[in-house]
Amino acid sequence: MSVSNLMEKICTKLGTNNKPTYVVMAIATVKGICRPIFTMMDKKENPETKKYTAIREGLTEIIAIPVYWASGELAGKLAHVLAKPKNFMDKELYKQHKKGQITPEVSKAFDSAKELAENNLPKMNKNLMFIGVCTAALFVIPALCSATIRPLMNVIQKKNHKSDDGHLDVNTFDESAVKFYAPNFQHNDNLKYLNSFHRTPVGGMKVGGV
Amino acid sequence: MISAIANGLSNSTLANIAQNTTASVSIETTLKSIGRPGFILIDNDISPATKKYAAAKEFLYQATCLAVYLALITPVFKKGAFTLAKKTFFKNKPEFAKFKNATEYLDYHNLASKNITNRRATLIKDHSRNKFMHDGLRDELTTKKDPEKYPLIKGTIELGSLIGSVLGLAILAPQISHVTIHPMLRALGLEKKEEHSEVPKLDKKA
Repeated sequence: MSVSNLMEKICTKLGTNNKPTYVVMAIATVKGICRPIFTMMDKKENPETKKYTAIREGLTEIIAIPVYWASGELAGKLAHVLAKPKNFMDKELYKQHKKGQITPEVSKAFDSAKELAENNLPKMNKNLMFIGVCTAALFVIPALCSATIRPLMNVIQKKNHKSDDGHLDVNTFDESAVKFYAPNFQHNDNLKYLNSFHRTPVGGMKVGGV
Repeated sequence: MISAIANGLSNSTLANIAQNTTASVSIETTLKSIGRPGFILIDNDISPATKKYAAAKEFLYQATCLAVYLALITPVFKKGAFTLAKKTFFKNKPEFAKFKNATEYLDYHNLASKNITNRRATLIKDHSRNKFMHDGLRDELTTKKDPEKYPLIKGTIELGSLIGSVLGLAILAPQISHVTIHPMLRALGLEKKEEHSEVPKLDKKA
């Protein structure tokens, strides 16, 4: 397939069905790669801060890509629920149609509502996808990032801290690094019958007793 | 209630925006500039000063993105993609010969997406009386229920916008914001100017 044919195929597909999710996912993918690279290239910043910011930026976009896709697709699915003749015709006429009172007026209204619903389905699908993507950008992604990135960063930082340079950090106390064991001691009553000790009262401080 | 929602969602203008890369990206960037600083401001685990600084920084970043996007995408990539395709990739395609530029095609596409009654009403208005008088385009719009929309041209413009959006928002905007955000934050009084300790020059004469 020549470049021209491939371009024609891609452009015709985009011209017929340009999903709102395509562009946001493309932007998030390139951002997920480029933003951390740009951050790491900054010579003025402290290396630790650079690493932290780059991981944070990468994680944000890793979260954003599937969320954009899922929000768009799920919202788009709602179009099939909403694009029903019931939602495009007079309520009274629909009730009559449901009861089986099919007059020419009811039949005509139902047929035109059915046609309208079928014609509007692609538009509703695109509009709902767009609303889904906007909701993801406005609420879902910032909320998910706020909830997940900090704990993830803490885990990553802890791991990095442990494998830093092999030196023991005496200034901070990491409880998880220390194991406490209960003494393995069993009470034995037979000790008092061994006659190893004087049972008579021992007075004074004389060494050896008696 | 549900009927009203269904009717609202069947809106052709909204469907056109949803399928238009430039419009949808602009709306999403505007929403991000509200949503992201908003979420930073309601986070109770951060100190008020840090919240204010981070929210202002995020807002300025998104605003810079939007400005770069609007300044770059429409004039350069949208129009450039049409011109480039017409001259190179699709120079033998007859549909490209029908339109002078991307603006004329997009104008045609907007009309073709409307229903025939609205289309006719728009075309008899004063400013549209002499529009699309060539290549049978006006006849197509006024007589056919579903006029030809030329998806290849639409797709070419959308692909140009998509490439421009990625370049503009993922590569160019972070670079520009990196240079502009700190002076803006300083102007707003949210960041102090870095104080460099002046190293006295060596007095060679002494």
